[in-house]
Amino acid sequence: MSQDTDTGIAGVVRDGFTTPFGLVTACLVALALVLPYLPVTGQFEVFLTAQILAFAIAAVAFNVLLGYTGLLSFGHAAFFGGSAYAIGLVLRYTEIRELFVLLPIGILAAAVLAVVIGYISVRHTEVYYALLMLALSFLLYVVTVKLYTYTGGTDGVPIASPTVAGIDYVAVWGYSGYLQGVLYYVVLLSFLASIALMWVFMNSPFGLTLKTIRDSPDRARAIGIPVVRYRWYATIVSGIFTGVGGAMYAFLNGHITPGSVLHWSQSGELAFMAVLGGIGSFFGPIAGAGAFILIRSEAQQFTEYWHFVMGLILFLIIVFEPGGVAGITGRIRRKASELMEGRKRE
Amino acid sequence: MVTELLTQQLPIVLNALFLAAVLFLLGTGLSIIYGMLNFLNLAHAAFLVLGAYVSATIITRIVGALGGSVGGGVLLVALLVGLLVVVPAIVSIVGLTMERTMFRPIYGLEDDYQLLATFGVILMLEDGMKFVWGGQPVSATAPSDLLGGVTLFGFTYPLWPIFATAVTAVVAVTLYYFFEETRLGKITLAMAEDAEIVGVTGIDTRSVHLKVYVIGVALAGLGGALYLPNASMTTGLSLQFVILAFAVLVIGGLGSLKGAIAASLLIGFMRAFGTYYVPQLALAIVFLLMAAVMLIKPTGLYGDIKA
Repeated sequence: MSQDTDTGIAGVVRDGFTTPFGLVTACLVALALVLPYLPVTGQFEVFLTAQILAFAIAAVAFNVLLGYTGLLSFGHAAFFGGSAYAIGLVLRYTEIRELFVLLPIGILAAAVLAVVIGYISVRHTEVYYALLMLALSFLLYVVTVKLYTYTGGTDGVPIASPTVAGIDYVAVWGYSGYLQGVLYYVVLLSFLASIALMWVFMNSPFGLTLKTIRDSPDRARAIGIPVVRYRWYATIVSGIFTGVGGAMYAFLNGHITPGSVLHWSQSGELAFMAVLGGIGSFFGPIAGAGAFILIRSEAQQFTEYWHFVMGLILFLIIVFEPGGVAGITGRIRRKASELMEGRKRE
Repeated sequence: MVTELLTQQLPIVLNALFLAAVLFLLGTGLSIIYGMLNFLNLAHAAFLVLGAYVSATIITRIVGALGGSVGGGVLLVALLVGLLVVVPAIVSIVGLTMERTMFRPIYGLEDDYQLLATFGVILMLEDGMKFVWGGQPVSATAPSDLLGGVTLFGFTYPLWPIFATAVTAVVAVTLYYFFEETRLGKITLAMAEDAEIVGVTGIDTRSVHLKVYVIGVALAGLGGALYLPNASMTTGLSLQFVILAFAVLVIGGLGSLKGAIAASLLIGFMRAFGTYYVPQLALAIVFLLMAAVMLIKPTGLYGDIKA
C-alpha cells in the first residue's frame, strides 16, 4: 500500500491483484456487491452497510485534508450538510425527484461552499484553519436553524425517496426493495467511484504536491509550489467528496436536521472516523467509518452515554496509537511477517 | 427623549457587560493556558459548565441547610462564599486531576492532535456531567433573588449581573497586577516566550505551569458560578461555550490579556444588541466577527506573539 510511488492506474491495478491486499480488497468489493442477496442479510444490515459506506466516503475525503495536506478541519459538516440540505431544499421547493439530478445539485452545493469557505480558511493554517472552518460552518448551521420559514429550522426537511433514471422504485418494489435493490447500489457505486477518484488524485502529481506541503510548507514554497492555492484546491476536492457522502446520507435517512448533518459535532465525528481508522493511511478511514457506526450502534444499545465511549476511544487512540486501526493492523502484519521469517530460519 | 433612549438601551448594555464578564473569565483562562503553556484545550469551556453545575448543587445544599434558620444577609454571605471560593476550588481540583492523568501525555503533540484529543475529552466531560446532573436544564436563582434588583430610570434590573460584572472587573485588575508586578507573573510571561530558557535559569517550570493552569481552570469555574444564578445550564450549552471561548481567543489574539478583555466586550455587546435588534442572527454575528477579524488581522486584535 505504498503511496509514494506513481506507477499509473494500470500499474496500480495490475500490481494490486497480485498482492494479498489487492486480493482482500477484491473479495470485499465482491462481497459488498452481493450483500443484499446473502441469506443472512436483511434490510437492517443493508441499511447499516450503506450508512457505513456513506460515512466512509466523507471520512476518506476528510483525511485527504488531515492526512495528506496536514490541515485539520472542524468544518466539514458544512459540506456534508450543505449537500444534504441542497437536495432537501430542491425537493421541498421544486418538482424535481430524480436522483441523477439531485445528486449533482448536492455535490455542486458542497463544491460552492468549499470554494468559498476554503478560500477564506486557507489563508491560515493549523489552529486558525481549524477554527475558521469551525466558525464558518457553524454560521451555516445557525443560519439554517434560524431561517426556519425557508429551511424548516430544527425540524429539518424530509428527503422523499427519489426516482432513479425516471423510475419510482419505491412505488414498484416497496421500500425494502428500493433500499436493497437500487439505493444500496447507488451508495456502493458512489463509494467505489469516489474512493477510486480520490486514490487517483492522491497518487497523482497533485497528491504528491499536497504531501510535500504537509511535510514542509517552507520547502514546498521554496521549490515554487503555490502553497496557499494548493491548500485551497485540497479543501475543494475534500469538500466535494464529503458532499457525495452527505448526499448519500440524505437519501438513506429520508430526513435531515441541522443537528444531524450541519452541527459541528458532525465534523467531529468525521475527524473521529479518520483518526480511528488511521490518518496516515488512505484506506484507514473506511475502517474507521465502519468501526464508528458499529461502535455507535452497539454503544447506543448499552448506554445513553455513548458519547463518553466515543470520546474515550478518540482520546486513547491519539495518546497510545496515533496510527489508528491501520497502524494496529500494520503492526500486526509486521509481527506476523517477523514470525514467519523466524520460522523459516529455524 | 434622552431618558427614554437610556431606559431602552441601559438594560442591553448591562446584559452585554454581564455576558462579556463571563466570556472574559472563560477566554482568559483558555488564553493564558494556550499562550503560556502552549496547550490548546478544546475542553476548557467544559470547566465553566462544570462550575455552573457545581454551583447549582452548592446553592441548593446551602439553601436547604440554612434556609429557614438564618436571616437573608447571612444566607447571602454563605452563598457568595460558596460560589466565589468553593466552586472555583472544586473545579480546580477536577482540572488538576485531569491535568495529571489526561493532559500530560498530550502536551508534546502538535496543535491539531491536541484539538482532537481534547475534543474526545469534551465528549467525556459532557456525558459525565449528564450522568451526574441529568439532561434537564439546571437553574438555581437563590443568590440573585436574595440580592434583589435596582430601579433605574423607571425600570427594574436584577443586581446579580451587575455584581458579577464588578467581581470580574476586580479579577481582571488582579490578573493585570499579577502579570505586571509579581515574580510568578513575570516568570509566566517569560515562559510564554521561551520555557526552555526559563527552565535553564533554575526556575521550576513544572510548578509554574501547574499554578498557571490552575488559575486558568479556576477562572472558568468562577465564570460558571457567576453565570448560573442569572441563567440556566444544560450540557448541550458547553459546545456553544467552546466556540465562544475560541472566539474570544481568536478575536483578542492568542495569549493576550488585553485582547481577551477587548474581545469579550466586543462579543458581549454584539451578542446583547444583536439579540435585541436582530434576534434571528445574534449567534451568527459572533462568527461573522470572528471571520472578519481573522481576515483583516490574522493574529487577532492584540496578538503578536505567535502568528
